[in-house]
Amino acid sequence: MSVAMVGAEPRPVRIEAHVGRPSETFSLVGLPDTSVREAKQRVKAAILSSGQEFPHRQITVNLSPADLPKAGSDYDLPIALGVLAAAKVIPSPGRMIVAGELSLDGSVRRSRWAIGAALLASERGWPCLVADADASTAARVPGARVFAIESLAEAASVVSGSSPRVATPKVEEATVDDVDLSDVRGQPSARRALEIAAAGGHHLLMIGSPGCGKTMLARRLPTILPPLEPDEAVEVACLWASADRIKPFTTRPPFRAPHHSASLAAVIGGGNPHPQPGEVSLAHGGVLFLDELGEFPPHLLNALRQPLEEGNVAIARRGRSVTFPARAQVVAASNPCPCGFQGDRVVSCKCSPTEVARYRRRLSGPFLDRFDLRLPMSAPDPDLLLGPAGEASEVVRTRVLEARRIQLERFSKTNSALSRSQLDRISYEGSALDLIAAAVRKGFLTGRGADRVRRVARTIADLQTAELVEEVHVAEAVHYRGSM
Amino acid sequence: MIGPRQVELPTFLAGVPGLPEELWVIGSMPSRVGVAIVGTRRSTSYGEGVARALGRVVAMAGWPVISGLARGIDGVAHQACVDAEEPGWAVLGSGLDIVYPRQNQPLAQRLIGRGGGLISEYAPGTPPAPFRFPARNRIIAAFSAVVVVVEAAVTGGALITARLALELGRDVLAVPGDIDRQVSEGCNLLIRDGAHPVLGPEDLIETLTFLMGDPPRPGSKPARSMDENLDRALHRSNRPVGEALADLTRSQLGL
Repeated sequence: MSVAMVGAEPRPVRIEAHVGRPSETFSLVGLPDTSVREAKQRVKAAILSSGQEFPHRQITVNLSPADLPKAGSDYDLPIALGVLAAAKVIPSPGRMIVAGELSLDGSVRRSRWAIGAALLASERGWPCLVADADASTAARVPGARVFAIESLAEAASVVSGSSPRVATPKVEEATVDDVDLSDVRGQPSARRALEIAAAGGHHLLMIGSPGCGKTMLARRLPTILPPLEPDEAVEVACLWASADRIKPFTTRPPFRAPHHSASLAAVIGGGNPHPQPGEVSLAHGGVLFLDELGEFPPHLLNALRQPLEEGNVAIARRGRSVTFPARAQVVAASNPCPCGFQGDRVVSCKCSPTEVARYRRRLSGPFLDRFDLRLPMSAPDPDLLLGPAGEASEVVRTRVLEARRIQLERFSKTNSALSRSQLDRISYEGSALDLIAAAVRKGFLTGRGADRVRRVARTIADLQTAELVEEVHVAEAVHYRGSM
Repeated sequence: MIGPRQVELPTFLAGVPGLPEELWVIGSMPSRVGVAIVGTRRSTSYGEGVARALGRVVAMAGWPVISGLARGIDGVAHQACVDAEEPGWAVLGSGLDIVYPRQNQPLAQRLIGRGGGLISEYAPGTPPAPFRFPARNRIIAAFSAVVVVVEAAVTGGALITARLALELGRDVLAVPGDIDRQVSEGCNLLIRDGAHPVLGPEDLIETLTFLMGDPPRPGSKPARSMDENLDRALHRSNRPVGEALADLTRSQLGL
């Protein structure tokens, strides 16, 4: 058996080989594309280079299910083993997952889908054969039994019963980040909002003049997020593999920052005949940063809404549809107006009111409703910039982790995902509700805004491990309502 | 909205030259001479913060706050009255059925709702036009014993209001600003030419007391400190950020 990726999901592909009457034909069926069809030449050369006889018979290899299109060079090794087994050179490999490209000299090259193969193997409780170079990473898939293979000859002897080299999971090196939250100085309110966003998984919108540090702040969000759970990390690795991206297997949440000129397919996902995940999926489990939100075309923001709500993207192609996970935390940054200086302490704004109104309109509507936290930012005070460094990411992350733990215990989800009925089940200090009522009465909050405040207030309380949501938590949450 | 009605000039305006005999009003008329807070439409957050703080203390001291309902400084001064739950008055350069700029329509409603009003010399249906604004500014000056200019370029309506005020014998105060900023030039120029500088909300109340006598409502709540850079204030307060932000919300809500 080998593996095909459908979306980011590994599917088993059964390799069947048949050796018939004497002939020199070698046919490959089961919707192979050109890269798979060329396996014939590689397999033949690799078998000969390994010192085996290549059967001078009619060879038919079927990749099943026959209606699933196959692509890539990862079928080389399983096809070669199938041919050898059909020629009775080795016993039938049977229940194992094999993936790897063959070199003409018989050595096994890296496979794009090693992670997918290991995932599939662990689900079925079978062993998994991958190239040496992939083995230690693939072995990190929880429950996977991974055998490292150097060459076709070694694979053949493993199938024949010699003891395999069992790969040990690579221990992740402690990631040394080039960015840290301690770099953010003199912006205590922004640091605080980032911590709340991390703790509750809330989407965050920052509004401020150019150069006030919006991008700097966003880049530091992954450093205070909880690390990915092992199965999440596998999912992320599969996604990246299906996008043909090289990324070391890591538990660090990804950070993606598509430019506002990116195409719909690049952001949401697409492509024919093999759909690829878009940026929103590559950010799965991590942060999707949309800088200059007002410059993104409205249709793109609308298209982002559904994936962010459902946590996945479904891409329909003729006859089938693939689904990529897309559970990303969105951080967006925007200037307050086209010239960027409205509300600045020093520079006055040069935009006409109609320009500002048009700009604001692009920033409003249903997409903006997804942002629980709206943070007005101003350029850091020069005096504070030279002051002492702020708390390091590691310290903040400890608090975030504790707050997340409390949330998962309560409703098995982050506060950002709480439904209205769940919000209603949260207990408040009496004066906390009074404050929300007062804010609504005075026109500070809309009904929808009040829901956002309740979610954020719950996260603030969780950061302090407080049982009840207190008045002080709600009052702080109202500050992040945004006045746009 | 109850439609505009025509009323005679209030008694404290008797003898002011160049005013029409009757004015159009929605809401009320100020019962005493007030304080104008005016400035540029292209305000910075510095000017807006100052206008907000000044508008608040003046309104809470009981003096009518008068302005022109324009974008920028004028609107912020009006908003400060509304936020302090005090009445404020706006003088328009158009018929009262046409609020210009239109974005300030809700603000106009709230001014009326808090017991203040809209005032104009133009009959309903008169559209706003540039040549009508100086006349509007003259009425602003007439209704005010003191005109406070918060932020103004050299070529702005606010400086016209200041000049008209001086012609009417009103006092002009100006908020100093950075010398290299266009929207501060007008104010700094006024100070050079003899306008008294405003150094803060408390200082303004002191000056107004000297010029106009004791405030109608002495000993009202102590003035709130000026808006300043939020992060600087948070840093200085030396308290947990969350608590300090919660305090800010409470004070904005007037709790």
